Amino acid sequence: MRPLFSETSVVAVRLVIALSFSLAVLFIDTRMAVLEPVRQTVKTLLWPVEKITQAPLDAAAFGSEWMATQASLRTRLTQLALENERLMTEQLKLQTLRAENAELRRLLNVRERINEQLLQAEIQRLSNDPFIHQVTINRGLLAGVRAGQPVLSADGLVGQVLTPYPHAADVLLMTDATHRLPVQLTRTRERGIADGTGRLDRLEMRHLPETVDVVVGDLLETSGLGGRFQAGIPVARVVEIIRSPGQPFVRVLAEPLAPLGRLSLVMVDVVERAP
Amino acid sequence: MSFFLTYVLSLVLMTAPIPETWIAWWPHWGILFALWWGLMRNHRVSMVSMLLVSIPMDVVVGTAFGFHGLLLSVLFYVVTLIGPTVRRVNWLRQLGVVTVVLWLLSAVGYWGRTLIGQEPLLGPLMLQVTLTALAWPLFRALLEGVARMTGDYEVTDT
Repeated sequence: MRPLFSETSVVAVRLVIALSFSLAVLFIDTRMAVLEPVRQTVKTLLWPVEKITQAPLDAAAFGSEWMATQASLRTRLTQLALENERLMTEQLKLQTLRAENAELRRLLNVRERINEQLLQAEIQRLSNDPFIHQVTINRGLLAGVRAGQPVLSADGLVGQVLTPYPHAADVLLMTDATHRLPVQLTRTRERGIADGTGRLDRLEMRHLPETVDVVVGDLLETSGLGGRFQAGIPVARVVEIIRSPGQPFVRVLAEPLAPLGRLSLVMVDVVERAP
Repeated sequence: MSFFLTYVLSLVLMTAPIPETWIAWWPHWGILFALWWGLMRNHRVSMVSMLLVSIPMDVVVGTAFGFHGLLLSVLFYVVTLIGPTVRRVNWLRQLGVVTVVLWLLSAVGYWGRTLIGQEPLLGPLMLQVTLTALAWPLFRALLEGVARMTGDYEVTDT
């Protein structure tokens, strides 16, 4: 007598159950934030594995540091002293500008911006998936990093903290295809949303009206809408404007100011902001 | 051969810090791990174990939970069906079959990625899948070597 369920049909039933489970989890994770504690726990448990993979790089860095000659170190020290002098002069100018800015804001009766508190962090690794623009930094919950905090470089915005762990944090770059950023054109204050394109050198604004005043070379900065990023952080430079006849919207392509593919150090703005 | 050790090995390879320009050329070691166990040691693994190992993969890669579960369960199903035949053929024919299976899997992956809001480009996706398939004979030879060293003689030479 033939068995009611063959071996193949049992595997097929298991497949259907596994697929249903995976799709349900996928839906829950993308639509709700309830699985974040699971992610944090798993990542914390995987910390030793990440340290193992990081070990050769750390050893190489230590080796090259150890091999540096005294002469090269002295040259480097002189360069850094000069750079420090220059930065201190720049800081003096910045203090004057800040005071002027505060005075103008007071005269215009505009609320003072909250000063940022920046925490320096090192990029440990990029996601090895070519379609995910995500990096892991070496500062986490223990250093005050929280989800949603902006991540900056010396040139401009990099992205935002996605998931913090005790000793590290995942940062979603603004060019990731799932990232949306409220921005404005610095010159005209025209607002829009900069979408990640999945390419490290491109952002795209898709829904600007046909009549928008934008030219190649315009700068984009954060608009402050949404409350996640404070207004005025430099984001990107417009490199192409696509106007299609008969279409109500203009597509604007921009290149991020921060060199996202070459970054090694970033800063996390760890000031808590009201949503 | 230890399931756990090969799993840790694949996780180490998946988390290895590699330069941005190399990422598109880096095989998906998690898929190769699942392929080895699904194809060569099918009786020792199950759909549940595939789902369990997919969770840390989602964490290290940065995909939404369930994405690798989707891929590994489809992969396990297919290799369970074709495994008895594919195990016996020579490495070149096996490579051909594995390539086709992984292309099929890339279609599932493409669909899964669109579900989570990504817009994957077909070129890099196919490149990664093809490179993963091409790495299969090497990966298989490596694990077979380890299996022999550890006294695990289940796989016969082809």
